[in-house]
Amino acid sequence: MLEIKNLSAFYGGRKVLDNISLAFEKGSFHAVIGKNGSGKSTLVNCIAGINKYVGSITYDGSDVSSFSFAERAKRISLLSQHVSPVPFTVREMVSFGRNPYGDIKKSGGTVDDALEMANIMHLSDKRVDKISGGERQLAYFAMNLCQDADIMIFDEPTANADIDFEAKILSCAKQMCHSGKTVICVMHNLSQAVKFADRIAILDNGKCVFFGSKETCLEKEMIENNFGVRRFDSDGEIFFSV
Amino acid sequence: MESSRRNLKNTILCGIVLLVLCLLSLRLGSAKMTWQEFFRALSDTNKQTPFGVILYSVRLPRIAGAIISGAGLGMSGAILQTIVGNKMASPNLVGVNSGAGFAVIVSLSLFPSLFAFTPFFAMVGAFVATLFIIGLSKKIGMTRNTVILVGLALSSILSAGISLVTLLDSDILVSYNAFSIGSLSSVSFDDLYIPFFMVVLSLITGLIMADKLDILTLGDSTAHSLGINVNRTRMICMLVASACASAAVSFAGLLGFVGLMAPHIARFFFDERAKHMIPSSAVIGAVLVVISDLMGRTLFSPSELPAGIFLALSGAPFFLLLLIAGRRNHNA
Repeated sequence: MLEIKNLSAFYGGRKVLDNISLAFEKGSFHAVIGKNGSGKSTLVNCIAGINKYVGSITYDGSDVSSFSFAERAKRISLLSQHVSPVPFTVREMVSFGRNPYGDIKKSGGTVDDALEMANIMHLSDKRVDKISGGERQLAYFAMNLCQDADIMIFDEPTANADIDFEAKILSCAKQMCHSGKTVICVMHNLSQAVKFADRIAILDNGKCVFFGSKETCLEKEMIENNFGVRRFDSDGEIFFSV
Repeated sequence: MESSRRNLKNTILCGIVLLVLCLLSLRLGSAKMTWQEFFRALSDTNKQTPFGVILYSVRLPRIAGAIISGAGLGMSGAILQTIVGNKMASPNLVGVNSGAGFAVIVSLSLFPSLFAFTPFFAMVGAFVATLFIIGLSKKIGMTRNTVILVGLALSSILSAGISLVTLLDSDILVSYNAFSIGSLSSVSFDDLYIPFFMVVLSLITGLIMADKLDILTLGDSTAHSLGINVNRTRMICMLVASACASAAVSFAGLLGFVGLMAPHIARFFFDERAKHMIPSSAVIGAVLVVISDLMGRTLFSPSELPAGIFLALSGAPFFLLLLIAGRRNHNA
């Protein structure tokens, strides 16, 4: 289990995360949602060790800040929202996911598995800078799969993706949970969060205003107070409107 | 597989081109010799004949110097363009040219009797400038943009310092000009042992770091999440880039454009993994300097133009070609 206790983070003198405490369970899909500027990306960057923070983040009781770079990368992977169009083939880039294990060169089978899971085997010999934005997102996603970390963090993984790619990434991430992985996904799309997440954390102005099941999150007052939208139900589907 | 075949084919091609250029450089020069005299001189390793002396004491050290300086600058450019994510980066970004130039001009002005130690001052000046850039970048935050901005700022300051010294002490201008243009005319084997060692060590280190360099191109956040210590990797690579470039400028002077052009040319022939780009940029850098030195010695023979001038003359059209090619790609 990944536990966050009394986590605060600062940019300049401004507090962007304020005393957050959360516990992410193994084998669950956790969505982190909130308005722009609420601290979602900062939170996941703190977990990934990119941002400095005050407080504690532990994994199965061990403080993650005591891990070496490679140890942390074996336990926690991050799919950033900004993916670079690099001049390598998709296969080469996906193999970088094995860097924490020191076996980039011998990673053939694992890379193939990751490409199959992400359904992009047909792109394996294409250059990452020559494929579409959505395909590139899937390639980076495949790299995360190849990294095979226990905790997989996705920071708006569908930002550059169309509906088809969006569904592929989130469905595959959900499948990883069935394999025992912990998924933490920063999302903007509340409908998608509801569809895929087991638990939802809502951030507002750096504070965690809700963390619990999606059923409780979907209560009408919760939606209106935190998103400024109204929930309405039609034919068994949930919709949101301003 | 196709990429591997292409890399291998082009590696052999580059090797053949360099070998042919080296043979031509040995054969051609202001001292004219027939092919028969040339092969006889090649076997005169004890330098018993005038042509033997020319080959082994004059031309061979120049060729070796051209290869080492070109390889050092080419590799430096390839590494720097990767770690700052900017294909316009060159060894001057880490203060090599400006640091070396400033150290040389100050030493010429204050210690004119220590002229023979110019290569030492050049190397130290280049390295100190790099260490300053690294130190300041670490304090601010060792991102790509920080490194670029600090490098540019330091280069500006040192360039101004060079202008100030030449203004105050115009007598040293002639000596400094020879260094600042870049030339291999007075290179001997004694000048090359330490630079050769530094360039080889840089090549080995660069190849060891190659996978980390590739991962850095994915972005700092992604590289960090893949287990890379981004700041430390960037710092080590900057030191390696500085070492091989400062080794080159220590005896060859401020040869311009090699560090910029060699990696660009390498991208046409090799895939862009660092394990291919670093050695191929070294070979192509060597080819560029060998060609420039050969042209300088032979085109206006018996007069000689420094290699640096030919490189500068070819650098400007190269930039224009890049601009035109870039615009065509954009419009396509």
